[in-house]
Amino acid sequence: MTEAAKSTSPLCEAREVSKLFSARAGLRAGGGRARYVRAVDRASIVIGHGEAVGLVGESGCGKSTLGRLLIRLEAPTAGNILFDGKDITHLKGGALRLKRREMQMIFQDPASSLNPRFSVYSTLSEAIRVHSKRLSARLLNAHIAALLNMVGLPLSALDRHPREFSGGERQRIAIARALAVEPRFIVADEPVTSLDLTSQAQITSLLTNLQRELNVAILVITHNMELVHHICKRVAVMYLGRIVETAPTEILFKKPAHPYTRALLASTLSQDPDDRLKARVLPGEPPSPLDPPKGCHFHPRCPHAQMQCKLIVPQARECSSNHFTMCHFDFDEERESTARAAPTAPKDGDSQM
Amino acid sequence: MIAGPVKKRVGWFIRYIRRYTRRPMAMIALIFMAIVVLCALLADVLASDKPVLLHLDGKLYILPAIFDDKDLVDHDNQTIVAAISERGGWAVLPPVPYGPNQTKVDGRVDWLQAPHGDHLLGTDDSGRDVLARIIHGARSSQLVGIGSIALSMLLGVLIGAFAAYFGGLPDRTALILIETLTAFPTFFLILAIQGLLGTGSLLQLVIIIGATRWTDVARVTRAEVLRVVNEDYVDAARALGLGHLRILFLHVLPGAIGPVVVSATFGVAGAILIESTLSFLGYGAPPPTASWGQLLTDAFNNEGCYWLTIFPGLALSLTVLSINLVGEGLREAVDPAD
Repeated sequence: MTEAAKSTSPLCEAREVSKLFSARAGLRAGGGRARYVRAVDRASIVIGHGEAVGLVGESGCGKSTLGRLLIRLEAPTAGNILFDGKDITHLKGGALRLKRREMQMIFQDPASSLNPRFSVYSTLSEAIRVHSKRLSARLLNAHIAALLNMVGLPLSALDRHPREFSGGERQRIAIARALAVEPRFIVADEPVTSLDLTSQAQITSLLTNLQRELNVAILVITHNMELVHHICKRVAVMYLGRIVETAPTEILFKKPAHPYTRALLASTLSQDPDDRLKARVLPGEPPSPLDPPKGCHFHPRCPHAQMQCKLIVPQARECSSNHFTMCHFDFDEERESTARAAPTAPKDGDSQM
Repeated sequence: MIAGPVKKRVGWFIRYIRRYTRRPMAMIALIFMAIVVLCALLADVLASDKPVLLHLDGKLYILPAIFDDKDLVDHDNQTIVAAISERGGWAVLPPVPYGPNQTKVDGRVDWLQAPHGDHLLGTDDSGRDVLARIIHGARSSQLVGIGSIALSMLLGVLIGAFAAYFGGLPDRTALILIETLTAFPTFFLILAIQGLLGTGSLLQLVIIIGATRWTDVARVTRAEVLRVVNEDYVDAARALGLGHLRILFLHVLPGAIGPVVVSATFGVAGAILIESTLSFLGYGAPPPTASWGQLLTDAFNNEGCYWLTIFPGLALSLTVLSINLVGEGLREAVDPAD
């Protein structure tokens, strides 16, 4: 987690990983037709040392699953997971447990991610002892105090149980637990979604500061663009199991290349009244991952879909420096926006496309 | 501890107890159960043909019924009282001064006596005191009830928890085992085994009931573990790199055990009924052991002696009712919806 640890290989990398879940109910192994949900579909993502990457997309698009695959809470059906240049796809048992201490997860709902029967002290000391088993009581307490200080909780929190805290405080405890093993990589799965607005802002800035201070790599899984904007240098956009676009945050927000990204940004960025993309609502529901469309997954909802989109899966290509898109077409921002504005004259009138 | 002053807050255990004590029926049942368990534990002191304390001829005998003093082998309370009046000394007699298998009082067999001053609940057809036999019968009932359910808890919790936690092949194997055993009517299975092995000891009964009744415990444990395993805190524990056993026993089982204990409580009542039924049919523990089921058989053989039916029957049904009320109280106390 220091500069010295940097090497040429990225810290964490997913190469064409897929995850299939069996959708068949029931116990009998032979009965029924096997149906699979392809939660993650040949997704690749790279997270560098100390880098903060955002992973955005609608609910159910597989972003949480991809996060869990990266820290090997799940095993991928196909593809490879690399950590620090080593393939950890097939790691098992003790070796996997050792690796897991280098990667942690922060969950959406701290009410369920903290064991209700464990006091804060038990939660944190358990996490620390995983990392260093024979720690004297004095050092352990010092370590716990440092962790609490880091996440901004008073020492008086130690004897209390999760239910005695507010949502924001609970998330601080969960963050302290994740930091207890001094991880090099953290997956934060919707870390502020379950919190009230004040806590959201506080936890966002806490995560941002901690990420920079500790130089720990973080993958922020969210649909909260505010959070992404705050923490992340780079963003990956996911749709129906595929990563459709990755770009540095600024570029993604300014010049989104994939039609889905544009729709996603349009649905959330609405503070600037002059924003051209404002109020463009994406038509329809995301298709069922049980039966995804052929070709480009987005074609049934895409305003620019052509024949080839229905047949050919687009390959990820670099449309500008460090900016990858999984769309067959390049869109000229100027021409395109005028063309779109043409049918309905008033700027803010095209609320339904 | 580095924590500053912290207000002591109420833990989950204390909250459960408070919720339980708010229910009067459950409390009455619990008190009754405590009395029955005390009777079972102290049967040798409460009802015995030997005194609790005896000072005779310069020797002090403490609990001769338990410590089996050779000097007193041929004596019972009545002969000892007679000896005291001749030779001096003193004795503390048990509240019920008859042993469960004592047939003669002062050399006399008082058979089939209706309840009166000397025998508060009457005597049976061999002249044995019914109250003494009921008190000692509580011991058989509780031993079989609690013992066999403890055994089935051990088996059921381990099998159910491992099956649900690891899934896959262990789970399928456990399910097949559970369903196979459940397919047999348990009582007739136990009856058949008792018939094959012969009526051995109470311990044999404990093992047989425990080994056939664990399936219910395993089912409940499996369902509860499956529920808890999906909690994020279990994933968090996995992400920390904790071992499977630590996760299972420290993070999963504590959240799953409540309903298991509740269902096991009802299981105790079931096991007591099985023991009594087996004894009634003559397949329980062999005769010198007092058992409520056997007392009921005596009643069956002696028509018209109401005290042989009513008192053991009351003991059995009140105990089973109490256990069920205790179980119900526990279930409501640990119910998160409340």
